[in-house]
Amino acid sequence: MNPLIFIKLTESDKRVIIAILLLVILLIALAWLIGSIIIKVMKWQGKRLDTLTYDVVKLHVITDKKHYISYARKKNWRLFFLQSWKPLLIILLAILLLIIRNAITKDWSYNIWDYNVTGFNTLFFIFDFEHIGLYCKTFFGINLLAEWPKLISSPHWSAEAWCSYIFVPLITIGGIWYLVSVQCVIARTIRMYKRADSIYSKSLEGYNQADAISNDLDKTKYL
Amino acid sequence: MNKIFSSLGKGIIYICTLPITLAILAIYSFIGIIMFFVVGIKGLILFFSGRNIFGDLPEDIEAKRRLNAIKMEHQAVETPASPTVVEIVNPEPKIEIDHNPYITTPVPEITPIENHLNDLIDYEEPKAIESSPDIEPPLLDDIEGIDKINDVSFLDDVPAIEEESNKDQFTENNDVNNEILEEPEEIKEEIIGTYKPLGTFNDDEYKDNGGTN
Repeated sequence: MNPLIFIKLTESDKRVIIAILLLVILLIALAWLIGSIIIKVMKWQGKRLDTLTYDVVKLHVITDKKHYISYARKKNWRLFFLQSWKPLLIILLAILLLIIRNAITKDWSYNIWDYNVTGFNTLFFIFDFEHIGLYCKTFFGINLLAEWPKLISSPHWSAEAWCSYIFVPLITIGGIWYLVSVQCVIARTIRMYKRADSIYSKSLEGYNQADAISNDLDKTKYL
Repeated sequence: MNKIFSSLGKGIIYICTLPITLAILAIYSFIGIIMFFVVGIKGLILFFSGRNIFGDLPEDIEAKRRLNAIKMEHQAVETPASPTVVEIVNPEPKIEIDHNPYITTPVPEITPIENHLNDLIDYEEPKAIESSPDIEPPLLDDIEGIDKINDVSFLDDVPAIEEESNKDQFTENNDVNNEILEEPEEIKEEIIGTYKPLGTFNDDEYKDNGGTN
């Protein structure tokens, strides 16, 4: 590619490039932020497994790897049950609400994402992304969004959408909460296998039998 | 600047691994729902059988037992003996009845060397063997021939000895004693005549002597 091509760029093209770069950086930073939070949560939950199994390991109640994994797994799923019953209950309540509403109104075609009257999207700005081709521009052979699509719905309150106003937040909160619980159980499972290896490993790395015997003999001199 | 690049690099890695992460999350979400119901149903069964699924596992019970034992040991070591008032009650003497009629003394197990050293250094007079309380001494009347000992008829042949008077001579013969103790009249007069009680003053005698004494 000829590097002089950038010199020929128009002012508008340069702006688009800068905007795309900023967007990419923003996305990466966001990914880093979310990833960091997830890693911190996983470390915290891993420590929680250490807390759960500390006594039995320290007091030599469990003395082998298999027993440790079995015990830690039981503890892990019990804790998962305690952590996840609340989000699952929220999800269950939301689903029940929707079913009851549909059963009462006998309207089983109810669209919770409708942006005109009945759905949750009545609360948001809705752009015409269905006809996105109208708002794109070809840039180095790639179709890129050149301007915002036409606004087709602005936020407004709709009384008919009351069920979706309750259902969507509940299901979102419950879902995220449940996924965090699942992430915690994954973190504890990873920690469980790591600890099983580290606690009950019998490593011979750096061990020399001859040195060990001579050390033992040296010790017996002073007895 | 390095930190920013490092963060951005991590962000790129996270984005790249996002599909795998989401797949694992989806699998575990599914397993999680199954396990939730398994644990829930198990807990329900245990609840109706009078037990608690969230109670202690056997390992936990054992760990608690060991922990308590360690704590008790620490407390016993660290806590100083507090002064307490102890009511001393003399217990009734415990008498153990030994059915063995022979008095036996325990023989200590002593090695030959110890035995020799004991002979040399720690020799002590053998102590009298204490009689056991269950063996009572026989009554004198039960002893055969005791009546012969009580027979003192042979003493009649021995001449009687007069008993000496224990009366005090001073108390019996008062007259004699008084005579001895009282002084003769002549000596009495001599003593009284020369007697000058202290503190008496005779003016005439003082004048005769020229006022000097």
